[in-house]
Amino acid sequence: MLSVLFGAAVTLAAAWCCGQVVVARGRLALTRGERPLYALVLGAAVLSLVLFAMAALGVVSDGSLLALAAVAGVAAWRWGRAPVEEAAAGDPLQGVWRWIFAPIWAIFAAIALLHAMAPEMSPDGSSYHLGVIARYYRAGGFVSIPHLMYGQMPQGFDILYLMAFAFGRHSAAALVHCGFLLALPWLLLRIGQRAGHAAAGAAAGLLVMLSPVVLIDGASAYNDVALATVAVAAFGLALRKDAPAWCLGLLAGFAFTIKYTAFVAAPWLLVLIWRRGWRSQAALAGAAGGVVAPWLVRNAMLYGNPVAPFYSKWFPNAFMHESFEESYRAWMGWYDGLDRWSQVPWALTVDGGVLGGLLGPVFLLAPVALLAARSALGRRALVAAVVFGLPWVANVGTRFLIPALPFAGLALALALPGRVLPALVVLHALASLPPVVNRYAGEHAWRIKELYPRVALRLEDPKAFMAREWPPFRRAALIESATGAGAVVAVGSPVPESYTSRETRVLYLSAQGERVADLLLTPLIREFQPLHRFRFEFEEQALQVVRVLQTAHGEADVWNISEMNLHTRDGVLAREAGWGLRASAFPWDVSFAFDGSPVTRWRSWRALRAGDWIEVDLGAPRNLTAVTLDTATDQWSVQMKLEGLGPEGLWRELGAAPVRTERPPPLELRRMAVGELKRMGITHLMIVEGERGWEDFRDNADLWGISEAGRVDDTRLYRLE
Amino acid sequence: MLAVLGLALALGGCLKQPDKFAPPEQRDPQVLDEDRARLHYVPMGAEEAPAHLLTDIVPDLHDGQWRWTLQRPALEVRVPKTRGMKFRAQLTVPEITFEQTGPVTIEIFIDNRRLLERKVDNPGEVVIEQAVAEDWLTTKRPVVIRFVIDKMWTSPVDGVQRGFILTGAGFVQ
Repeated sequence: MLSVLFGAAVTLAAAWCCGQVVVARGRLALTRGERPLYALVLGAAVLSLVLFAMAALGVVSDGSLLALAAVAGVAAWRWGRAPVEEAAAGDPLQGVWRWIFAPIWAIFAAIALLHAMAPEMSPDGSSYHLGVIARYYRAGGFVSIPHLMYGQMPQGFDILYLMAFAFGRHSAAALVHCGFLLALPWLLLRIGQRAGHAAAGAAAGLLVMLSPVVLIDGASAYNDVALATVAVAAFGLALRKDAPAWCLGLLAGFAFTIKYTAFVAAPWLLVLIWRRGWRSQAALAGAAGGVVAPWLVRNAMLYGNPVAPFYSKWFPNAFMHESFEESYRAWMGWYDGLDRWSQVPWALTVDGGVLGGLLGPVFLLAPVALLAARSALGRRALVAAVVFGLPWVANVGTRFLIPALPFAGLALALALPGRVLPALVVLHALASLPPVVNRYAGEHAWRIKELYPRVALRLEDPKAFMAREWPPFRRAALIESATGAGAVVAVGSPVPESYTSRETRVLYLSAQGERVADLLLTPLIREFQPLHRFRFEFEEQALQVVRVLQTAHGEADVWNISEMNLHTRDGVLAREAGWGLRASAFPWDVSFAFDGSPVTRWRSWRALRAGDWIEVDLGAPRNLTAVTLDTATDQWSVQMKLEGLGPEGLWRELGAAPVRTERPPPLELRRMAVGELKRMGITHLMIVEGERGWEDFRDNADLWGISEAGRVDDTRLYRLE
Repeated sequence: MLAVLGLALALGGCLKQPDKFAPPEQRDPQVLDEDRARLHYVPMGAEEAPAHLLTDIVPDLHDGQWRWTLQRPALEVRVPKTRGMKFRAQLTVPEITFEQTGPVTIEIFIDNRRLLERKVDNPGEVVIEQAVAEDWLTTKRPVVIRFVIDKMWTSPVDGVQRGFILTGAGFVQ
């Protein structure tokens, strides 16, 4: 337990020390209550940058991280102690608030701390937030993780977990996030106090922190609550005319590196300080750019896309497919189980089952917040709520409203009469206690259902606890125990990768993952197999380049070719190393149309687009008579024509429409698919009962060329022979 | 924000897509069907299909995909291996024949051994798949697949008789 507390404490302390320096250098006049809060948030931005530099240089180790913490401490002592003007205390907390704010905060802080200290069992925290960080830690810095889209996102906050993880592993990381959760209500209180609305600030702070989805998110190794805290700190500073614009820029940039959806922070802050003049605007933009740029450069270098894993259409790269991005956006924009928009308010606030968490029934009053427009602070809070709420439409999960929630909460508290606020907060607190939430929330709503104090306090072994209570851990443990070092496991759905040192390849979270899925499904799905042959016949002529053009447009089909063969009057032209293969879409896979394997195929990985092409440059003119294309049948709308470049340098259309004939389903596809997986470095395959084809893997293991390496619950781990 | 966008676009502009790729290492060519004299599964729309037809399959190819059968259609295939093979047939009892014949029964034989019998109670496409014991097949000579349909359709116009529509038959994995 000490290591957990040390890991969290050293990280939060290092951030706070960095922040002390920023506060002093920025000459921010802060009260004693404000200073540690702003120092934590501003310092986290600086610490994030420093950790980025260390990871980029590959110098991350226990020793270097300890040295960094020590340097931060020395810096705070040397440059962070410069006397700053002590500001007026502002509106004091009065009346009943003096008796309920801190106790309610303390009760829920204890709940959050106990949850954070228990083993990390959150889906995203255990799989990729900490899975990626664990890989960086083992490697001593950044490593390319092209096979996992989440590994390509900027990790502005997650990288703080690097320090915590080094000393206290998973729970220490969750505690770091918890630190931001616990700071958030106090930050809102201080903002309210400074604006003369202490009660509203206190109420907003508790409304947000106690919200069931905020509580579990902030007590897990996620980053949504950290983003909300950064946004609130930026809001608090932006309300003050004396806050340096570069501090705002630092926070705006930090917000972007925590989550792309926080791109709204910089323009929002620029508008807020518009009247300060161009110097301030430039300082804000410059600081924000300085924080953001390293991540963009890293992504450009590692993934060929500065904003990886998104916008592959603008920045084509080998690691993400355009078609996946389109599916992902549709998937995130509307969750399964949601039939109409009118269900959303209830799903967000009370049920939480469909949207992955609940805000709490009190937020059914959210429309009342519009009345806050009567005050200046209310108007600003409302604008901020809209600004940070806008990205939610891209992913309608409840937790994606967390960055907007503090502002909505503040506006709601400002809109309601002061005398009802304490009662409302007490009711919200009662309704947010885990045993109470369990009585009304949907079964699958993400929330703290139960506390495990024994394991949180390490009176029980965390691994034994997880092995008993949490099936995903048993899968990770199976991978760890049944495979050797260096094993790479293809999995149908994410496993908590942070609990295994082996690499996994999720079948749908990257271009490589989708290709693995395609390979494994091709033997099982006839429509994926090359059962059609298109033959273009033309008069024998000398051609140097042959190009197949796709001419249909707009359909959802993905154009694909399993094999492309050129024919002379003597038969199929043998492929030569000097040939140049090109494709207009996803060219990285073009060689799969020329590898002699019926289980592989080149796919455009995007909806049909007229003008897409695939071509082969023979290097020198050859006398050709025909071109054949073996293709899968899952491309009903595709239309193709053939063009050729002759020795005279002119393109011409070759032959009429192709003649289509049928081909038999190839044999040995299963074994060929496994062979391709092995070429990709994959050594094992984990299949859970219910996943597509799971029975075929079980019943036809010999045809696949796999053998069972282990089994746990409903999950089988196969070794590729 | 504009600066960030500009930086992203500038970085994107600097990134170079690969110009071209060379043909990769060729996979095991022996599993390809190019050089086989006989297919293991015969789609009626395959160029080689006519060479596999033995009896009672009308040569005319319709829509590039199917052929009419008579009462005892037979074809031969060649299997490169005997283990883990499934018999597969894709056929159709069309509305027009079903109206006259009603439900029909189709028996399937592999080298004169009766594999199965399928009663077709409704018109439409039928896909039959059935695992075949290893000792029913041989790699040494062609394997003969024979269908027998119990009722034939007779054209009221010219008296021509037909069995069912065959799209493909053979062995798959």
